[in-house]
Amino acid sequence: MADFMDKVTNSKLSRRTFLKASAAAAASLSLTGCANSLTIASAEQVSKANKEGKWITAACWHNCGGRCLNKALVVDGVVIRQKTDDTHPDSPDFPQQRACARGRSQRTQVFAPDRLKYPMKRKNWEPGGGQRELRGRDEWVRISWDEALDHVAAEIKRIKESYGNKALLAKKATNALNAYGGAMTMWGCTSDGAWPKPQQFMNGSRSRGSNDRLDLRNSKLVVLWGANPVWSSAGNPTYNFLQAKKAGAKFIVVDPFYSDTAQLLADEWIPVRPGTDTALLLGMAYYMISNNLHDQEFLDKYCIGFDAEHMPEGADPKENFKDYVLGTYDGVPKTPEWASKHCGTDPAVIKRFAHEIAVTKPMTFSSSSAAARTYLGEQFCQAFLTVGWMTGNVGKAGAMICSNNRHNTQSYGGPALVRAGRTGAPSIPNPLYSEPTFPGPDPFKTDWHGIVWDEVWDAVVTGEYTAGIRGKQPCDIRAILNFGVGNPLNQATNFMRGVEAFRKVEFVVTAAHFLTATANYSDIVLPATTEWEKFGGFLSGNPEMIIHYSQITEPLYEAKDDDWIDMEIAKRLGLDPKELYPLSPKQQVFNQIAGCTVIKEDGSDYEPLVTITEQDIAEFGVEGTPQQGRISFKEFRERGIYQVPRSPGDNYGYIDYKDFIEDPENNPLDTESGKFQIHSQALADTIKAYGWNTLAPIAKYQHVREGYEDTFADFEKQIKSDYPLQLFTIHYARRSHSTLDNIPWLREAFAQSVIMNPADAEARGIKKGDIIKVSSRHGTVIRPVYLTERMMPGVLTLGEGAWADIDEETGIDKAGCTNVLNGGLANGQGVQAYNTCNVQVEKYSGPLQLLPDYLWPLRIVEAQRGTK
Amino acid sequence: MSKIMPKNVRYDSIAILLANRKYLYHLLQKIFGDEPTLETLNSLNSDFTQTSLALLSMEDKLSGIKSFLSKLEQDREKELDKLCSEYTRLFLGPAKLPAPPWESVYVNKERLIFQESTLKVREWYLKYDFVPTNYRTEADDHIALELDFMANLADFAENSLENNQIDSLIKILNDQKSFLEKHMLNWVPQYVADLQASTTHPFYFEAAGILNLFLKVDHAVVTEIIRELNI
Repeated sequence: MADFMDKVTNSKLSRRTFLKASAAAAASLSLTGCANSLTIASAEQVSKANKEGKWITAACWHNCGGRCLNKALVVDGVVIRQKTDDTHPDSPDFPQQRACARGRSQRTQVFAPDRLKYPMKRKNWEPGGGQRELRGRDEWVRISWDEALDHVAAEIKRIKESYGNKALLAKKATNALNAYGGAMTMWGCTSDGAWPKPQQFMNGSRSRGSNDRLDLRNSKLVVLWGANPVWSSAGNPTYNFLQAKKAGAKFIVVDPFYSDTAQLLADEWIPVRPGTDTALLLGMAYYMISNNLHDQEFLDKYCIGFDAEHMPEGADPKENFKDYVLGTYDGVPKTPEWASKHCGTDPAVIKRFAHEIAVTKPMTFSSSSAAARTYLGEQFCQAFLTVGWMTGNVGKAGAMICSNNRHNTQSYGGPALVRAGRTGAPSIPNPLYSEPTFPGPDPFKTDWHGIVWDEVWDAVVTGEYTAGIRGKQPCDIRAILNFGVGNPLNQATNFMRGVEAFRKVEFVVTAAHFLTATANYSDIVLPATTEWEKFGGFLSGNPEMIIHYSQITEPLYEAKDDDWIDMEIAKRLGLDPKELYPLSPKQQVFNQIAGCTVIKEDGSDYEPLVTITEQDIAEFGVEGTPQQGRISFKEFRERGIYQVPRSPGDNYGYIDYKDFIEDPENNPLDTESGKFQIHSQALADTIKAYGWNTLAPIAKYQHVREGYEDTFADFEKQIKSDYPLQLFTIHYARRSHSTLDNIPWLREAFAQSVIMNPADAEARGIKKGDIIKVSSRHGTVIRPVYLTERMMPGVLTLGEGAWADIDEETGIDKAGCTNVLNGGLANGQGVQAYNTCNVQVEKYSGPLQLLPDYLWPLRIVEAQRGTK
Repeated sequence: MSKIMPKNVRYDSIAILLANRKYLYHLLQKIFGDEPTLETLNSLNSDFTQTSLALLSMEDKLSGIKSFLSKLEQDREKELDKLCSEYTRLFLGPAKLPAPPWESVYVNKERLIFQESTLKVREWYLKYDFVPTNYRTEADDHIALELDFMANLADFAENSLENNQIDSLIKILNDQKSFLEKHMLNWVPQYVADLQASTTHPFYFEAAGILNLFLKVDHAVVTEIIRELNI
């Protein structure tokens, strides 16, 4: 480099003149307004800086069911590293609550450079909508919180005043919205699939049948039906199952895919086509009945509807399960050979499987929700419970017929041993919808105004939705309000119709952590805090522990928490925010701590968990009363977890239905007859009342839309249709639903590939590593293919939750969002049929490029050039 | 306690170079830390900036920007609006930033903000009693904050020179040299490459080039001044 000293010296510039000129030039720069500038540190800032790190319990808040223990080493507001549970030594009886890859990636989410940092407005939006078609491809303008909130409140007000509250659509109707007259909402069974109503009418409750986790070790046979806890229930479920295996249980896994769980646990894998599980179960029932292997005594005593001699009052005796299976009246015996034509399982395997579950006692027969997340999933639930009860494995050690076993209940049963208290914060009911949004409303009631997920985008576009016994009702949605709710556009079926809906309405606002697919198609995006930036709270995963997490860092950039946002909107709507949110976050956390209860050592009842003194209350700066518990306030806050120690033979064991089995007369079930209802007319009537289809009162194999038979143009003649393959969607280890999909660590570890059988690939000229195009009747995605014999021929799978990234020109999604492929097939009680979807596949040879996902920033640059 | 002022040192030239670098650091801070305004563009287009860059043999570096500025003259409102959109896209979001403007993103494999390396930058600032205006809610190692730190230190250096505090002047210059070596020169070249790869707008493309070259030149300038003072 040149010698600058010489250069300046030789330039003969006058020091005085130059300094004057530079001062004048600097003055014109007006740096005082620059947000990115330094200021003089206060004495406090200097003294507090760079102190030694402290381990703080950090939230792992996603909806995966695990909610394991995560701790962060925090130095001066910066997280240096994370660790997981080391609060006690690990053992099978008293296991640590160890985090999975997702939990351990948490800091890479909270501190990702792509967090939303400021309120932003779509450039071509104006009150009333502006250029609506530009949603998802417009440029953005940074705005102040005041401007953003003013816009949001003004639009809510304008739309309510012009069209009424029913013109507002919100997945989560917040306190402010509800106090302002409410909003239309979305509802559906989502993760439960079709289980809720069959359970309600057949066994009298939700997710019943599981005994205590330690009792699993008493089972001689464990059947896991459509469950892959290794991927979808990280945390301890797989470990718990492994203890049963070590204790000698045989494992059978039923799944279209030889999953990681099958690999780890299964002595036998039984492949079955998606949506045909009912046929498989009926074939098994036929084998059991015709070989007299069913537990007739159990069926007679505890069930109703199995045979003509045990029918509910008023029911047609011909409409019994046994005669349907035998084909007495319809002329179609549901033989294993008949079943095999539908489900694809070898008849010999069906017989062996049926024999095994009939004679092995005690047995655990456990279904997740997967097979019920299908069109007409209710029939699977009916069949599963019926065949399970035919084996009589109820109410005894090691014997379980478990329905809907997944998420935080996978491998666990019985009541929670430790529970957090309530926050005490009021929740204002939605005047337009007081029914549950999950699993759904009572179809016979006429006072609710909500739309099932599968119809919601259609309803926005067409102005009509299905309202239970009221049938089709008109609607006129003008605004979509996404406050405090994940990623509804991405996670509801029929994504492409959703884009149309978003582009139709007058206003869309989304509060989020990132520019998710939902935020991307909005007019205004608001940066929300993660749980790491909030004061703290509670999480519960499995029933043996609770986690109390604390604040890790200050809210990043201009992020604000959901309650603050709602209060600010309330203020602008002329409401009193103090009335809607009377308690500080700290008081709410205190109330939860004070309300924590834990099971007594003798198992008889619950007692307070935390000891709180006057001094604790004063130091914490809240209102409360002292109490005596098991662990001090300070210790509980520092540990951030309480787990009940377990050992075989302790007082917390639990056998579901024990009372009923021992004395059915005095302990009837909460069903119409007080018994297990293999036949339930009320179930059939209820499903009909929802307004989409009918269901038989017993388990029958009825036509499944976009099931296996629909892959044929003519099933009898076996002529294939244009969509000859079946797609089912899975909870994938990379994400918890759509959360964490943008995390490079996880993207690198878990590729978003379509899993496919090599025979199907070969027939289409597809080779290992190719990019394939998957098309359904509803949309198209491109993705890399992963070929493996572990997948049944004719069937594909793809993980749900990838953030759709639609190429504007072709309409192709490059991310592999399964809801681009899943159409909105509203059915049953409002079941999202994520696992029945017909597709076609070809090698992709178009112009779009797909880099490995973890290198996606480069691709995003290209997509955004000049348009966003 | 001040060292005795050595006699054959070219103090006037040092003073000019210090004032010059302070100005350029501030100008770059403004460009990389704030939404573009006409005022900033005028400053960049001024005779003084031309003189200032010429002192560092960088007089030709403005030509790319100047052609954009003459285009701007044809439709100021439209061109400025486009430039603001590009600033938003490159520096604010809401979509994933193609070239995140924080040091920690480039010096760690994980590409995150608020990392251990951020604390190291924070330590440097605190050594001179500085913190970012939005301390602890915004990451300390944003390019504009590091530029502000360098501008402030250049200002302190100027003051030391004015007051004949040569020890303090040398110490500040050594710190600046060290901050450039341990921090800015360590990551800005990659940042600039990423930024240039992801913008087709001539303004930020050219400004990034100026930033990159200026830091290297300033390192040479500081080294020369220290050498001169240690004669």
